[in-house]
Parts: sequence; structure tokens; C-alpha cells
Amino acid sequence: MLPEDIIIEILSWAPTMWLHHHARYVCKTWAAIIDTFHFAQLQHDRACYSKPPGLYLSNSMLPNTSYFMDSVNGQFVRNDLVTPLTKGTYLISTCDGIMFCNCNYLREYFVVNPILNCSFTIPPLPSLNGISGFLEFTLIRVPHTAKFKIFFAHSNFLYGLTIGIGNSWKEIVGGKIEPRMRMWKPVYSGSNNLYWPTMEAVIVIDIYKEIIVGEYPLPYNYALNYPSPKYLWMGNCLSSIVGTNHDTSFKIYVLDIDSRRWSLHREIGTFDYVAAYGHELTITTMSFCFWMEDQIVFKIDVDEARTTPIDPSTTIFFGYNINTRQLTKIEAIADAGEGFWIAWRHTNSLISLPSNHA
Amino acid sequence: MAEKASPSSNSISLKTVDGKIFKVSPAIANQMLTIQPLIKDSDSSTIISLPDVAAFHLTKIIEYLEGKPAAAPSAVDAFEAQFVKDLSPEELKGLLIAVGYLKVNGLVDLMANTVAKLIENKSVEYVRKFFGVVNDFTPAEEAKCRQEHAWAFDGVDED
Repeated sequence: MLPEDIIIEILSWAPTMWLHHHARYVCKTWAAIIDTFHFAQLQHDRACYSKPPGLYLSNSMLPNTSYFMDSVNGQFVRNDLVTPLTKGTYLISTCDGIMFCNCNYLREYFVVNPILNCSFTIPPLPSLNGISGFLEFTLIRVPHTAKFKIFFAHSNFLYGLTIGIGNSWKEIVGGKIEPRMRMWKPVYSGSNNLYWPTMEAVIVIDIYKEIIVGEYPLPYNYALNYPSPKYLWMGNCLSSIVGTNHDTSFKIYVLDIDSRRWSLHREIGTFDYVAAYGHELTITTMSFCFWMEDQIVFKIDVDEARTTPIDPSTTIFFGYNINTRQLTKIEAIADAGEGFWIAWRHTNSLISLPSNHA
Repeated sequence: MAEKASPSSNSISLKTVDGKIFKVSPAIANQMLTIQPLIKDSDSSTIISLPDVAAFHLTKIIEYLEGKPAAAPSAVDAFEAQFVKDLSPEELKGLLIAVGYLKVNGLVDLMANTVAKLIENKSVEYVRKFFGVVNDFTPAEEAKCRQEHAWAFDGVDED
């Protein structure tokens, strides 16, 4: 028999699904280990080391065809975990294996761990008027704790909610803002700060204290730039990707926290789809998804398959390496099928949520 | 744990459970976190006894600690793969206990990961046999556990 601390070390490298469905039944000691928050956190940290990361592919047209992908030996491999999304339910945000969803039918928001049998219904929002249900929210986990928080911006106010504690939305101190907030999805650094880009500044929220602690200038003059930039977390800094020349090329800016300045990091484009995909593509929309090491992953929706105006469009995912300047079709997720797909960085975990019924 | 031996250069003497004495440099010995405090107080005549470590294990541990820094950064993965390649499951488990006892930098992760690869996606029965674990669930307890952890989403389509 191996000592318990060695068993913990071994199991922390094992796949999440297998731990939940098999390892748990080996003996009571193992079941107890797998149920602890310490273990769930260690195992999740290790799963996140894997490259590429885990993914969730959500289809807003046919939500129940959405699916999860694990990282296995450097490849994306689809797993058979059933999606929590059903018709009328949309994913808003995902963090450390927990998904934050909106069910249109029930006008209900909930968080769920799709592996564990646990979900939590979010208390009613302070206001429901004029919500897109997507841009105004983000879910984060307070580092090194089992605490999850949701931040919400609405009609000049910012709110915070700690899931399972207090059961009510709390107005954020210093959170009175101009009606300019509803522009971009906030970007979480993974540590203290949540960055919320607005039309005039990037507001910084301390996720522990739930207060606004400062703001940074924008990387560009907003009025001169349309369409709007995308903000994404790039390893250890905030990046902003601004389209130029009718969105055929892009400027990537990064924010230096100390000097409070944005600097031009790279200029990318024009993408050679013929080399990467085999032929020309008629692109209807393009959107950057996330950074994966030196690659920026983006999706394009194409309507080439359409023969009638009501035929569905398809989504193709590409990765562009900013160092080698190579564009590659991301084979495993490139042709997800019909619908409007979004790729999320999502690595399933055994981190549990409080219960609504407790 | 420490006894006196004949003085030699400033190497550290480690005595395995099967009675073999290894002389290692302080740089190597210092990466075994468990014996670090003993090294500080020891002189060249000290022998440190390692109760959970056999000569085979210590040979492998020294091979790792000497070989890894010598490998080029791009060759570390290949070195680690080679290091664990020919170990049997029994040797892996014994080495993991030794490495866990000595708290060897980097090697705990490599060994635990290697063992995890052997058992992942295997059946519950296979894993019990592999580790010599006895099932202490009663059928009723196991059924209850399975019920509690049933999937929230059973795949039934609402459309």
C-alpha cells in the first residue's frame, strides 16, 4: 500500500472524468480524497498545465450539440460529457470548470459543474431591463479558494455576488459609472484584478475587496476606430486587438501596468486562407477567441455552404502564431458542423459549488 | 539516523535500507529535501541512513539528479521519458515511495504522472489490483455513492 500523500500525488495527474466515474469507487479513502477541495484544486491546476488547454465548443443555434474537448497528449480530443446547454440556454462565462449560463425560458441564471451533480441558481438580478445577457457578466474563482464570484454591470452600476454566500447582489464601492460600461466583456487576469474595458478607460476591479481600484487609458482613440477592438488575456498581460483596413489586418496592443501605457506588440494579417484551408473563403463575421501560447485563436463564420438564404452558416477555427506568422486551421475544431459556434477555454474540474438546498 | 564514517572529501554518505553506502555531492544531496537539514549539521564523516530507500532506488534517483541538469532544455522531456521507460509497475511504486520519502525535486511529479498514466482510464478492479487496495464499500454504500454522483444531465434531449 502506498502512503496517502503519494496516492494524492498520483491521482492529481489523472483525467477528471475518470476520477469522478471510476477512481471514486476504488475504496472509501480514495472517495474521500477526491471529494476534498484541496485535491480538486491540485488536480485542476495540473490539468491546466496541459497544452493545448481544454475547450468547450458552444453552438448558439443548436445548444444541445455543444461539446467538450480534453487535451490528450498534445491533441484536442472530444469527450463524451453531456453538455448542460439545452434549447434556450446560453453560456455566459466559464472559469475553472464551472459554467455560468442563462436560461431564456425561465429567465434564470445558474452556475453548474457539468461533471459533478451540482448546479446553483443565481439570485434574481438587481435589474433585468435592457440586458444582453452576455457582455454584462463574468464569473471568476477567487484564487486558491472554493469561492466563485460573479460581477455584473448594469445601468451605471457595478455589482458583485459571491456564490452561496449572502445570496444577494452587492453594489461595488466606487462602482457608479457613466453609461458607457456595456461595451465589452470584462477580462480576468487570474489573480487580483478584473479589467473592464469601457468607451473611455479600462476600469480595474479588485476581486477580493470588490472595489474599483483604478483605471487605465485605452490603447487608441475610440472615436477613430470602428469596429471595436477585442480585449483578451495574453499569458500575463492584457491585450487589445484592433482591426484596421476593413478588418483584413490587425494591431495587437499590450498594456504595461507599471508605465500605464499600451504599446504596439504586433501587426498581423492579411491571412492566407488558401494556404491554410485549401481555398478562398467568403467570410461573414470574424472574431478573436483566446490566446493559446503564441497563437491567437479566432473563428470565422462563412456562408459558402449556403445555397438558399435560410441555410445555416458554418464556423471555422484558425490559429495564428504571432512569432512564426503561420496561419493554421485548428484541425480538431475547424469544422464543428452547422451553427454559430464559440470556442471557450474550459478545463473540467472536480471543484464543487454550494447547494441551493443546503 | 547519522553515524560516523571515515573522513573523505566533502561528499555526503547515504546508507540505503539494504546496507549500501553511496557518496554523493552536496549539490545532489540538497535536492532531497528530507535530508537537507541533516546535511547542514553533518561533516564528511557522517553517514545518513535512509529507511525507505533501497540501493536500486537511490541509484535511479542519483541518475535523475545528475542526468537532468546535463540534458539540454529541449532534451529534458526525452531524458525523463527514457528514465521511466524500462521500469516495471512494482519498480515504479517502490521508487515513488522512495522519492516521496526523500522529497526529491521534480521527481515526485514525474513519477506520480507516470503511474497515473498506467492507471488512467482503467477499471476499478484493475486499479485495486494494481495498488493492492481492498474494496471497503458495501454494495449498499456503493449504490448510494453512485446515486449521489449520477450525472445532472442525463443526455435526454428536450427538443
